[in-house]
Amino acid sequence: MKPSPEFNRRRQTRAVVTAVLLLALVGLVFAITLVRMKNGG
Amino acid sequence: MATMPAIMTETLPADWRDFLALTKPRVMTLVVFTGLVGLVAARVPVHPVIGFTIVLCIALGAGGAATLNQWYEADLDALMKRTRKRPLPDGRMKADSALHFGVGLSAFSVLLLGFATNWLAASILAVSILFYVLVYTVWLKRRTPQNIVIGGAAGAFPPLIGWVAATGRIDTLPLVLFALIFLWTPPHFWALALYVETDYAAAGVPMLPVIAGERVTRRQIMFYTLLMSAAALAPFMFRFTGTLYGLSAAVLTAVFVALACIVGMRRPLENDAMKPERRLFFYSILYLFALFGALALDRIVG
Repeated sequence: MKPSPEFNRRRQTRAVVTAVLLLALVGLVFAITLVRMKNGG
Repeated sequence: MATMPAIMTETLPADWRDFLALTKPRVMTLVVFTGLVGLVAARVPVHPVIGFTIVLCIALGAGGAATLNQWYEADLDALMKRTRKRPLPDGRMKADSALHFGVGLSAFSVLLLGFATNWLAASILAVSILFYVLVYTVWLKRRTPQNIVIGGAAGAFPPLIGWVAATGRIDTLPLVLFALIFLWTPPHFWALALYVETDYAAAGVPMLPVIAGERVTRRQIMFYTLLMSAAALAPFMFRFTGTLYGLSAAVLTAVFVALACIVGMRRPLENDAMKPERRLFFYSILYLFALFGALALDRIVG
């Protein structure tokens, strides 16, 4: 059975949201590490 | 037409809005705000990145706990008018998706808070999540009409978490704020329970009005409001704050007491619109926002 357009739309949205959240998380952990290094751990 | 059933039985991936709804965003705003005030009230310089992370972790922890609560209570939610449109009882999401999402959010929030600040704050966040899910949701809610009295502690942790994340230690003021939210919870929830009583009764949740009756509930609302008033004025009495908070607390709490007394002394007839009870419920939310806002301002300018 071919997935419906709504199925594809939701799957794509989920993939994009997950990717954006992961990028934001990596950025945040990086920023926290920098702050901690600046403050001496 | 022969192909219709195949199309209709296709399982759609849950919409992102359903995941968001699981986190109870409206409840989360109050949790985040009180956590932020705990952070600000500590009067410790905190780097904006760390400050943002603390608030984010409190929000994610609250969202994780709310998700696990809805995962466990899907059967109850399906029986109540107020909750039957939530993603799980409405069948818009698989139970496992909600469970994984809730566990993931909870674990991630604790680990990130520990990494960014200190493990004492992370431990308190973990205790608050476990308390809400295990003590309140699993153990108390379906067993005793005192469910929200003890369970109220779960919602009282955020200012303590904000404070400890900033300072690394537990002090008297955040403990007073903990007591304030703990004592605020019974009048807040019982005002709601009075006007959705039939909903709770239908679901078999032993809320106080269902078990002990309206008169007892109304008396208990007044009793806890008086205890809460003492906790609300305590930061000023013990000189943790100045007159800005003292005056705000006095006025805001006087209105709360007046509304609670109106509810406490009422004997409504059948089919009553329950306006005073609704007013008390909505005012209680406004009250906590305003009181904590005044506290933050006072600690910033004082």
